[in-house]
Amino acid sequence: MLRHAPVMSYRPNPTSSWFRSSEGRRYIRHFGALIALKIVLLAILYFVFIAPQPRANTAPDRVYDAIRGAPAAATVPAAPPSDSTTPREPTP
Amino acid sequence: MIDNDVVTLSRLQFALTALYHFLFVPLTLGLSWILAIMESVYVMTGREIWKRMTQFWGVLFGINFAMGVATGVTMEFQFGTNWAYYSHYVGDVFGTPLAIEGLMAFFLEATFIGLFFFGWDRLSKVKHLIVTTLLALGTNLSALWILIANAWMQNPVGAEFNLDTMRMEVTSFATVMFNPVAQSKFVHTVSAGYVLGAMFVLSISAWYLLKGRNIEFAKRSMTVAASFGLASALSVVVLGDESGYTVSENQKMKLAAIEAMWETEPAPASFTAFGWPDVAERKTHFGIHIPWVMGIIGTRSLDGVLPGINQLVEEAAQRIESGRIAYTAMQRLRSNRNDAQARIDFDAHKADLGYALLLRKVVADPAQATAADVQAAANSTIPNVPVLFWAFRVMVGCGFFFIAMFAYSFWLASKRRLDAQRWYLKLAFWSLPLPWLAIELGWIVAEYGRQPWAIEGVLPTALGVSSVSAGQVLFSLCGFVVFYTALAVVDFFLMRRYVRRGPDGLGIWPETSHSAGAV
Repeated sequence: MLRHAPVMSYRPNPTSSWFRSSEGRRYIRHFGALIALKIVLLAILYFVFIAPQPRANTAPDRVYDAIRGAPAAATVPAAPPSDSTTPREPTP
Repeated sequence: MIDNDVVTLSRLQFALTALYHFLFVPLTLGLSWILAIMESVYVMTGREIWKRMTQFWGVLFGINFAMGVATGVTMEFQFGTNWAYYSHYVGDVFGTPLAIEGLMAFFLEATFIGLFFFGWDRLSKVKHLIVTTLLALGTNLSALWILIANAWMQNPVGAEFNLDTMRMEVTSFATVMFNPVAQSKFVHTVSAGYVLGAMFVLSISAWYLLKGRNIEFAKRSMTVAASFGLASALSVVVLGDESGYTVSENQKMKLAAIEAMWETEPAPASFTAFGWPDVAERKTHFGIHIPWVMGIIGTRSLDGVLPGINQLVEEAAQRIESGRIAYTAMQRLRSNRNDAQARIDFDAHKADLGYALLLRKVVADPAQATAADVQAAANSTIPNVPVLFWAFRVMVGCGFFFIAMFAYSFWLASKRRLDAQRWYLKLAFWSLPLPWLAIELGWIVAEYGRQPWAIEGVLPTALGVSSVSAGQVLFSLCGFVVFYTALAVVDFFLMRRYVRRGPDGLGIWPETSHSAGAV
């Protein structure tokens, strides 16, 4: 019975989408450029402004010191971006 | 002592990025459902204009999405750089919904937005509609998870402090997930996003009608925006009432500050429609009060009492004293883990430990605090009353304006007279910034009203900051300002360019060569 059932197929019209037109392609280029711009800006933001910042030491004892205001060394230097495999300072 | 410059700059940086990020999010929330509605009409009627409407508003949706999607990433940068102790202290609870939100936002939304753009001639009508609906659903689900995280900051349930790890740890994820504040916050926030999406479509369509362009296209868009906007604007007010009720349950000081209610009033309390809060005298001058309203809204009863600011300060002082017992017990336990009496004292008073930490802003060692120090710390639990008072009233005023605006638009649409009155079209166009204003003010009420807490009653904001210098925070703040200014300029010009060109200029719906067909 299924063999004789009419085939319900959808035949897409390649010209039906505005996104396929020249204006649509220009829009997609803008969309892509926007994403690329954001990735570049985010990368600059991260590597220039974020990565050089010192990392806070958040081991439990250090958090305890921070909460009670003890003058303990509370930061560890930022890891150099090119050497991401170097292990961090061991926590107490 | 705490470096207040670091605290202030870190807060400023986070506030700027959060407010900027939330310029894009609500439009994505609202416009995604409008796209789904328009495409549903296309699937049901088969009329080409509805497909083209979905595509045109989808173009603007895409620009907004591309601009907004990663502006929240910078907030996650800040959790690490500026809020390291906050991240450690509550990361076990806060991190989970945040991670799920990231997965929802980046994977679900990104997948379906790609299918939305490129699937028009590859998927059947129904399948494409399912994609558009899932895009809207994914967008809204990501909002749910971030609001679960945020609601935990307002009402920290389902977690407790672990003295050994010095952080809050989850005891019941279901309790965190079904936090009543999260539920009320979610529905209120997404409804506000729907209002913004509807106003965006209404305003731009009104501009086309004023210019005499894309007439049939704009009228249909306005009809959808008016009906969706009216339902959403009514929902915002109703669900905002629910949100206010949850605040009266667990953030009494925030509610009292919003109302500038200095003294506890006999039940049911009145609502101050207008007034001039005076922080120095702890009075509200020129107050216009509406009897009973606040008591009924805040307690949903005629005999429920809403405490005033002065009473809440006294209660805070008592909790600070109780917290000091937990604090000294914590010190004893840190030096001797087997001190049984210290453990008993800590367990009995640990719910108030956060209040003792408020003392760190006024004295180096909370254990040595004097009565004056305790009073100063208790006074610091009062948020900025005038800012909350006015921000709330402007937000509510905007909310009622939206109901009137969409109700009138709905009436005009039902009479097919949307283009009959130029004053209405001008008003609709110039109303475009108002939902953004209302939404940003809503966040100011929610987050500024939570101060001085990062986590209500658990962690003061000042103790959440990293041990970095003010110069370092200022340096990264400059970076954020440059980043966001560049994006804002690009976004503004790109959005304006596509709106100005419109469906006719972009070739999406050339009115001269197509028949619009009856609605």
